[in-house]
Amino acid sequence: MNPVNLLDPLLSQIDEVRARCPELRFGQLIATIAMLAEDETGQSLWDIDDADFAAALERFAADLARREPG
Amino acid sequence: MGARGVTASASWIAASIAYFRRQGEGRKVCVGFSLDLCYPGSMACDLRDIDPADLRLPSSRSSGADPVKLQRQMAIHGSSTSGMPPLLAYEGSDGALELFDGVTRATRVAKLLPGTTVQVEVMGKLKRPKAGNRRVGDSL
Repeated sequence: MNPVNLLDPLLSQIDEVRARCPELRFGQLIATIAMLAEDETGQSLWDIDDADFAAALERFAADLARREPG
Repeated sequence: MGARGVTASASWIAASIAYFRRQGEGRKVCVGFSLDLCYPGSMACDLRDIDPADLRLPSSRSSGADPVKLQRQMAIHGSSTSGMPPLLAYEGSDGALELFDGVTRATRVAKLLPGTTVQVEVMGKLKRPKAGNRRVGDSL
């Protein structure tokens, strides 16, 4: 159970991240974020809280942003 | 950035567009990839030349490349790596690189050009080791 509804901001950020890496299929994108969340928490995707998934998404967005010309 | 850099970038864009067009993917995808590589002086890009057989498969793709997609890429590109965008990976705490984009490309090169290195863009470091994951070379 997740105490706060993070779904809307999560979906919104997924949309933004997807625009930054259109070469990734949607499933690939989710699998990559899940891999980062699993690496951070040691839990499987099934058990990861929305907040931890959001943190992994944030990290992936930051990693992508670093690739872009400044 | 010097004129030489601009020239190299323009040719890279053209090669990438051609590469993805051959795969039936969109122009926008190609340009996005190429622009990332156009300005090496202004970004923190960790590009490495790696034998693709040593790359680790993502756990969600541990069986290796989709055989149908692999055959299609082999038919289209053969053993050419010309214009191939860098593979994308994260680095495990033990230094092993886990792919998250380019499993089919890595498998094609490992299969048809054994020992040849490819360019891998390392996006960041992970907390956990990845050497235990299956290698691309294990899936050939």
